[in-house]
Parts: sequence; C-alpha cells; structure tokens
Amino acid sequence: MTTSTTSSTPAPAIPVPGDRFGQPTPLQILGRATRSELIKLGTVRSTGWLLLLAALSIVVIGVFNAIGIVVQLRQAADGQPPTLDPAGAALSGVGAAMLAVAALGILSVSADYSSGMIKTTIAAVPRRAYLVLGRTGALISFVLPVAVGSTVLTFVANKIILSSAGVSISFAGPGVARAVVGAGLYLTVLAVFTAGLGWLLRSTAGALVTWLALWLVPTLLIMLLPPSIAERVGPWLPANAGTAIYQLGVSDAAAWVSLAGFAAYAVLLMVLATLLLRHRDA
Amino acid sequence: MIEINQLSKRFGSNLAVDNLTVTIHPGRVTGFLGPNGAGKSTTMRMIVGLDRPTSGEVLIDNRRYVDYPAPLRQVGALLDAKAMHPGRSAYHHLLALAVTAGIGRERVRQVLDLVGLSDVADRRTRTFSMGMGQRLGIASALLGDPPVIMLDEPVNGLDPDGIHWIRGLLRALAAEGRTVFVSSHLMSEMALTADHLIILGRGRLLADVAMAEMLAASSPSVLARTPQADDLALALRQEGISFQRPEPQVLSITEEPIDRIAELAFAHQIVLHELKATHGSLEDAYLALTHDAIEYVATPASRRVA
Repeated sequence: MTTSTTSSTPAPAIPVPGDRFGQPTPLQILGRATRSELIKLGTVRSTGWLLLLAALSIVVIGVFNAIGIVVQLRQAADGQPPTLDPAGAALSGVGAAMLAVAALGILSVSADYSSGMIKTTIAAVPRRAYLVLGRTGALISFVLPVAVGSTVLTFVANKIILSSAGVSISFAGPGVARAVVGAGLYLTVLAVFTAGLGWLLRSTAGALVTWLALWLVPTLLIMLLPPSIAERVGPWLPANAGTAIYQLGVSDAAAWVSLAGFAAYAVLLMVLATLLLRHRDA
Repeated sequence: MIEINQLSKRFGSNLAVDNLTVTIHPGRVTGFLGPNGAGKSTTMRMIVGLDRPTSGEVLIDNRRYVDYPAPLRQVGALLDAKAMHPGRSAYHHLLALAVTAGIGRERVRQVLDLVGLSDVADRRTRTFSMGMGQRLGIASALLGDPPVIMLDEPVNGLDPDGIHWIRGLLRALAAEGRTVFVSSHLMSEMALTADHLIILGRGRLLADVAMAEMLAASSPSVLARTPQADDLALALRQEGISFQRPEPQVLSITEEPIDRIAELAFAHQIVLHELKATHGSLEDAYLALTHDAIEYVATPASRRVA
C-alpha cells in the first residue's frame, strides 16, 4: 500500500527556514495570498478548459463571421458595400465567451465552498480582505491575457481575411483599438463580477442563476418604465453596463465611463463579499 | 499555548459553546473529549478564526490567530480531512498553502514524505481514501513547523498502522515542547495518547484534568477467570472481600491488590485460567461525566454536529 508510512518511528523535527520577511508587511502578505491563489486556480482543470472555451468562442465565431462577410461580398457581384462595422465581426463571439468567463468567475469561488476547501483557505489566510483581493488578482491574471489576446488575435485574423475581399479594417480607425482591447477588459471585469456573486452566494448553481437573473430580469422590467426614464437607466443595468466599451457608435469617453460603471459594480460586490466573509462563519 | 477566555458561540437558539475558559499548555498531548455535538469542533473552528465567537476570545501565544501574518507557522490545524479541492493534486494543495507563509517546495516534499504520501503526491485528491485525506490534512498541519498543532478527530479513517503512527507522531511533537491539542469522541483512543484531558459537554467545560488523575479516580480492579468460581467466591466472602460476578466463571474484585487474590487462590487450591489487573473504568468515568450531555444530543435541537 502506497500510503503506509516509511517508518513507525516518527521524526517530525524537520527544521523550516524562518520567515525571510520576518514580520511580513501587508503588501507581502497580499503578494503571498495572490501567489497561493494563482497556484490554486492554475492547478484545477476547469480553469484551463473554461479559458480555452472562452478563447475559442471569440476566435472561431469572429473568424467565421469574417469569412461570411467575404462570401457575401463575392456573391454581391460587384462588391459595393464597404460600410461594415470594422470591429463588429471580430467581436461577435464575445457574447458566447461571456458564458465561459462567468462560469470561471463563479467557480473560482464556489468550488472552494462545494469542496470544503474554503476552511483550509481561510485558515491559511484568515484576513478576509487579503483573501478576496488575492483571489481577484489571480483571476484577473488568468482572464485578462486570454480575453484581450483573443479579441486582438481575432481582429488581426479578420483584417487578413477581409483584405482578401478588398475590405480594409485597421486598429487606427476611430474607436477600433478601444473596442477590440475593451472587449477583453469587459470580459475580465465580468469574471470579477461573477466571482463576487460566488462569494456572496457560495454555491455554483445559486451564483449562476443569480447572474442570469441580473442580466435578464431588469432588462424586461425596464420596459414597464416610461421611455424617458428607461433611456437614462438602461445603460446602467448590469447587462448593459460596460458593453459600450466594445461598440463603435459611442464616443471613447462614454465607452470608458460605461466600463468604469461596470467595474464599480464588480468592486462593490467584492467589498460586500469581504464584509460578509468577516461576519459570516466559514 | 492556547488560551480560551469566556468563549461562547450561539447558533440560533442553540448555545454550542457556553462560556468556556480553559488553557491548553505546551509540552504535552491534550485530549479534547466530549460526545458528538458537545462543541469540540466549533471551539476548534473559533481557535483558527473560521467561526466568529458570539463572545469571548482565543489567544494563541498571546495573539489572536488572525493577527499572525503567516498563521501556518504558528498553528497547524486539521479540521476536516475533506477540506480540499478534489481536482487538485496533493502536492499542489500543499504548495498553495505553503506559499501563504513563505514556505518552499522542499518543505512540501518533506511533509509529503513524513506522512507517507510521496508516491501519490501528483495524484488528484479525488482518488484518495479517507485515510489518505487524513494524512494529507496532517501534512498541511505540519507544513509550517508550528509550535501549536490542533487536530480534529485525526484517527478517523486511518488504518491500524496509521493510528499507531499518529499516536507516536503526537507524542513526539509534544515531547519537542509543542502544544498538541487533539479531539476525539473516543475515550479509549485518548487513553493511549493524551497526557491531559479537557472534557466538554453541552458546550461547557466538564473536566480539565491530567490523565494520571483521571486514571487514579477510576477504581482499578482485578479480574479472575476460573472454573472454580464458586470456590473462589466462597473464599473471598470468608475474607470479607467484596466482588462482582459479571459472568459465571469471572469474578471482578475491586480494592484488593492482585497479589492477595493470587495467594488466596493458591491457599484454597483454586485453578485460575486468568488473573489480571485492569485499569478499571476510565471509560466509565468518562461516560458518567458526559452522561447528561449525551442525553442532550438525543434531542433534535442541535443544528451543528461537532
């Protein structure tokens, strides 16, 4: 049996080097908590699979759209209409990627609760703010490069595909770079937002249902409001906040304000999560 | 040293821990006993800051657990052998914990070796048996080489070899001057390991005694097995020695030295098949102490089982 001990005479006195930081500073504690969370996220399979799924959603759907445009242009005999949204096709997979990213955000927290790991986690990092910050940092480290990388890659691929049909798109176009990179940023904020739901609800199913409800229900309810009010509130519904960042019809300033609004929601959830963690039994 | 000061924890209408004040000293194995639901686990969870006390506090070497910047170097705790992600390997589980206290990979390998899990270090813990999970939990408790070690029901799920191993480990850790605090609901298990006992019932302190004292309190007795039980009984009565007869061929004699019984049997030419001194009823003493608490658990009110 592989588990049997090497000897029955215990020799636990293995010296451990002292803490090289002596008394670690808050920043060093946070650094360690973040490293720990990076290891945790990086050593479960679901992280890799969901990131792959998100990347594939963006790249495959985006590239197919570009190919579709090329085919349409060729069929339309003398390729007349070059009035297409230069980033639209490249970002058409963002909606599908949201599902994978939201699942990753939720699971990054809820898996701890469903497995009981949370007890070990909190015993190792009992200061809840460090834990929440560290995990958020780790989550961003995984999602940001994949999300931004996928949208940029897809845009470059689309540029090549569309040029074969004589259509030219460029990062230099008004708002294009902002929209392409911004879509990746949006997905990253979404991961943090859904992780916040994970902290608050502690269950995968509960957080997933809450996320879907937050996205769908207010959008339906707003139709009951007078149009003048609905117009003002609409952009700040959870489902709409931040989406302007990857649309070209809006000014850069308005787009960034929209993303900042979404980020504010995510930060609010994290603050709530920290407060709740402090008061709640693990 | 763990100092528990007027600690209480209420879950709804259930007072799981009721004004508990007790100190767990270094250099010995302190057994934490009590029936299921007595509040042992809740107390342990409050020691490492998992549960918020309703009132009171716990100090570990004069500081609260959450005030330690690298708590794994101060307290090694095993609270739940299943508190790990099933999809992560044993090695990565320990590594993720180690980096929170600035502990390196080398030490992770060492503790895996120490608990005998080196060969399965890269296997995901989903595939682990309960005993292997328990060993991994003990490995995580030893990671930071902490002066305080706290284990909740560590022998659960261990095979006899593992139980023997952990007894030796706990005694060795205490001999090194560490504070070793181990819970169990089995008196018989504690009798073999602990130097000191803290007994809890209904969340209250029932006893805080040295094992030696507990042993002295439980009356020793002599057990005699003989085919001539009637003859021995007669001889004992003639000498005015009181006894009990739990089985037709077995007499249980209290408050007499074993030598006297042997000499008496020899004088009366009584054949003895067995004659032994027993440590009497350590278990009985414990059961008597916790009797009320056990009755309490039978009522459905308790929300959380320790």
